[in-house]
Amino acid sequence: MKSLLLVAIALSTLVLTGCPKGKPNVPPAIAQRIAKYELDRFNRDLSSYDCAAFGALTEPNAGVTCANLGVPNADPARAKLIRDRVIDRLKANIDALYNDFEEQLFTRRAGSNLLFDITELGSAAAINITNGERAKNIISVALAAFKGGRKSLDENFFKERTIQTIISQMQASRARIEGDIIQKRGKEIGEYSLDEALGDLVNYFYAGTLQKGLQNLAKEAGQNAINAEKRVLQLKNIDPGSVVNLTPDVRGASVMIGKYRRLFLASLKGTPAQKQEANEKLRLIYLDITKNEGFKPIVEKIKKDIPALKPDMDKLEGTEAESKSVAGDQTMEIISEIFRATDLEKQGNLVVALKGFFDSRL
Amino acid sequence: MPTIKFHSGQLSLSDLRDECQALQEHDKTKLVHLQGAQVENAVNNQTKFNQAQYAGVAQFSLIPELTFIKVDDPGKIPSIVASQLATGGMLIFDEILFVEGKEQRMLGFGKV
Repeated sequence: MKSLLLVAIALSTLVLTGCPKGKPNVPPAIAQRIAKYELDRFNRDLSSYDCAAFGALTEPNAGVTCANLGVPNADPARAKLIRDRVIDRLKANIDALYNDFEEQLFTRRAGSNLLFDITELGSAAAINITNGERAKNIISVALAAFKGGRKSLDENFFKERTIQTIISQMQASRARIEGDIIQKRGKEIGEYSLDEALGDLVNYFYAGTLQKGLQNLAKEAGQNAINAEKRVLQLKNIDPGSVVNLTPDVRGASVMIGKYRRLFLASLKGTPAQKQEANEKLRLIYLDITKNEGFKPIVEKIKKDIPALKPDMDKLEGTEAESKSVAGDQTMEIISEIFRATDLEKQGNLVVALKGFFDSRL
Repeated sequence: MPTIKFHSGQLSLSDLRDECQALQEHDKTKLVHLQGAQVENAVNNQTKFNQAQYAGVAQFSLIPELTFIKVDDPGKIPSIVASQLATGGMLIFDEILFVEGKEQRMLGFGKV
């Protein structure tokens, strides 16, 4: 398992770091050679650690012995040094990757496929140069997971979160894990093994990815909401004029008028037949309004206050041909303005009447 | 500049929601915040209100449909928010309101 973790981190960091967008691409052959060299170095460190920690290799490695590694006997102090060296090397690679990535997020925000391009590129390259079947499986699964998450993230995430917020979250998560690693480095290998260190480094790597950044952000936001202390406002005085006092009839009628408006707006975007039917119904509702004595001052006021609506209002009240020439959405706008100009508290009867006109025409 | 209105703290949850919706539909606005308010000097013999802030919208079609959800277990807030988001509901407020005269934590969502 140790080597699998090493392979995963080494390949991810090296290949990803080798091909940052906005900089010259590293040719695949060179990237693979560098990756192989780093892998060899990690494997050597891993074997040396085994020899120093346990006095023997825990995983068979053809042609390698503790003696030819220069670690013939168990030496916990040396094992600790090797462990720390592995941590330093991997962490340096991860940091280099992260710094490039963060820079790209700033400079190429519009290219929201960036992360996924990099991840797929890195994982695909890793598959090509990994010998162990299990490692291939792990990386393939990781690749599939990224691809699976791609669509929803592409569509939603830039709309919902600013890059700076996500970067701040990634920085905070990375700093927290880095702090843990630094603290644990002071421990002996019996208390903080290389396996545990590799686990921490994997978490450190993923803390610097967008998916983890978003997850942590959502988790933190949710936790903040759960823990938030909520209380009512304490006010000395309020303006009595700002207190809403609607009767249940007016409240219900207003809500229904809103629902009818949504229905009409939907019909006006529908088929030509639906649109024509909606146009006619709205025209008749307008005429119902104008026949009601209570609405007459309101209609006249709107003609005066909103001159842009007057020509269509006059047409609606004109001959049948003129009346039918007014577009439905314009009639809807006029009726909405009439509703708006009706006082909910003082002219509640008109609001209820308006709702009745809608009821009778639908 | 949002308009501030006060709704009675004695309303039921559905009546409070309807009153907010009614104002939105009438005034061509959208609710942007709602929070319980205890008032020292009574108005209409009432001291418990809910302070609402409404902002104007450019078109009537942009007036959101409101949904108010009672929160009994704050641990469920993330899943409530997530399920509303999945159906297009955007969080407007997470506050303590007065509902039928009692304090109650509520979430408010708007869907256009």
